[in-house]
Amino acid sequence: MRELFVERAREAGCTVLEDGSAGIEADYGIAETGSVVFIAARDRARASWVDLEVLDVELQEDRIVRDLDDLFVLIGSDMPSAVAIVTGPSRTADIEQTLVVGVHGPREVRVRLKSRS
Amino acid sequence: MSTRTDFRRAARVALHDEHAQAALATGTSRLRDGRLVAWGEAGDIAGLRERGRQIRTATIADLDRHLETFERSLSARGGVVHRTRTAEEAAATVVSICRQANAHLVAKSKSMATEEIELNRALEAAGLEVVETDLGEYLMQIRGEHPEHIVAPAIKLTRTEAAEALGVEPEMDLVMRAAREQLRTVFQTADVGVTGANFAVAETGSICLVTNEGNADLVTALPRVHVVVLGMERLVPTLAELAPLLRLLASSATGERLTTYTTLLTGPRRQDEADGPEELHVVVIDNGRSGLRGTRYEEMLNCIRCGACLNVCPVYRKTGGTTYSDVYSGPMGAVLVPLLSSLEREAALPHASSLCGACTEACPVGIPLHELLLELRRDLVDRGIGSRLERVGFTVWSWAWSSVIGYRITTTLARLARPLGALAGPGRIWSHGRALPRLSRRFRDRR
Repeated sequence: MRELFVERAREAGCTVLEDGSAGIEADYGIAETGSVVFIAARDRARASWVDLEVLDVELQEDRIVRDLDDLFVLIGSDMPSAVAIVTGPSRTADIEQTLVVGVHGPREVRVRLKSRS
Repeated sequence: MSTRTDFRRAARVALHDEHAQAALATGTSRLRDGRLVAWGEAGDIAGLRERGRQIRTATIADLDRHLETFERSLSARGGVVHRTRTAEEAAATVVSICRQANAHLVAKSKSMATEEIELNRALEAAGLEVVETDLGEYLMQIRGEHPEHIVAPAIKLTRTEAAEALGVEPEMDLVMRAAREQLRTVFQTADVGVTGANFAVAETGSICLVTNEGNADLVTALPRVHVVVLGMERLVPTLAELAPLLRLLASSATGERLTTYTTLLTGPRRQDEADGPEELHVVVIDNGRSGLRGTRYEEMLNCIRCGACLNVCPVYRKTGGTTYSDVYSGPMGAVLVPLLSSLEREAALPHASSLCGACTEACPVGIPLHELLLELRRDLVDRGIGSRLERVGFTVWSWAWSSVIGYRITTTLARLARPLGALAGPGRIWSHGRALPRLSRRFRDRR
């Protein structure tokens, strides 16, 4: 699942790093789509995952789930007020069909994978 | 709103606009190719599409119950549901929520449902300032135009035009930076955030929003009040059924595995949370939808607004969105707009199709769009709407070809007139720029 996550997150335009620590911790990762998942909480503003030019994310390897379905099973019984599934940097192709990143949210998403050992 | 003559005139203008032709060709091809690649990589795409069709059909069949469940679940989470019947009632409800919130500035995230109820006009008439925050829509709003494509609103806009709208040099980077700065202020100072909803999950009372830019996340995080304008058919019974629909939407709309920001919002901000709206209102719009239930047009309510049918339609690809209505365009618009407003007023739209069936083939949830267009044409004839000339013509034709003599006379005339090179009268529109085929001898004369 870790391998698939790395592959898909890179395809979605993320930088995936194997070490170091910084930024905010993702609640989950999704292997199917290479997404990182953020849940609103007391110490986690909803704007925090959009409001930066570079988003540094820390993700524990054992928080990677297989797919969207598995994520929904995990969070569905008691839905948080806000759940954001973020797949790559903020992007648009609104003008001349040219892909541009960082229009509102981060132009770069760096994911650092951590193992609990 | 368009009428038959308007559609033709607007289409003619678009056809002669070289820039628009190039932009439409590039834009729709890119989106179509993206979908095809994503569908190719998706594994069992036929199975996924069938599952999507089944989920949508079953949901619409039991929509009342799902709406009740949704209302109950959202109320339990502190949200307020407002059911409205007409577009005017829906817009007035949003205006009154904004007034109660003592709002001055409203930030919006792209939503076709708000276009449908002409919300911006209602809010502005009430003295509120409204700003669209999707980049394409922001630029279109500054230029005083309506979105031209349900996924790519500014599909024909050039870099130079975008730069002019923002008052910067025509460099993509400068355009981006200017938009980011200008809109950042809007997010931070808006009193109310207005969004549509891609889906609403009944069992959890959640609103699901997808954007690639992230503007919906900011619109729903920062303003004090969040208002959702929800088409009543957008419900999904459970989270488990949401997952396949999200895959279908992302792959069909933009060729992605998942849209960059896929966000689920369940009620307003909870105690001690760092940010989020204090109030969450969901304005459910009917606006003619319940009238489709139980009719042969019911399947149109299955639409997930991905825009795949626009990108393959030979008519949309040449005329663009401005020729249709101000809201929905392409095949889905040509079906939906007459159904939601009035077939009499939108009599041109069922004819804005070659009935080639490319739309039906592209639809991820299997809506038989070209068959529905044909049904609408039948309705036009049954109700006696449309061209009198056409009706007279078909009556004469049907009478003439019912008899041997009539058939011989007309086919002989047609063969004799062939050397004139082109059709006369209204036929000229068709034969202009086309060579007429030679009419061969009648079968019975070939012995």
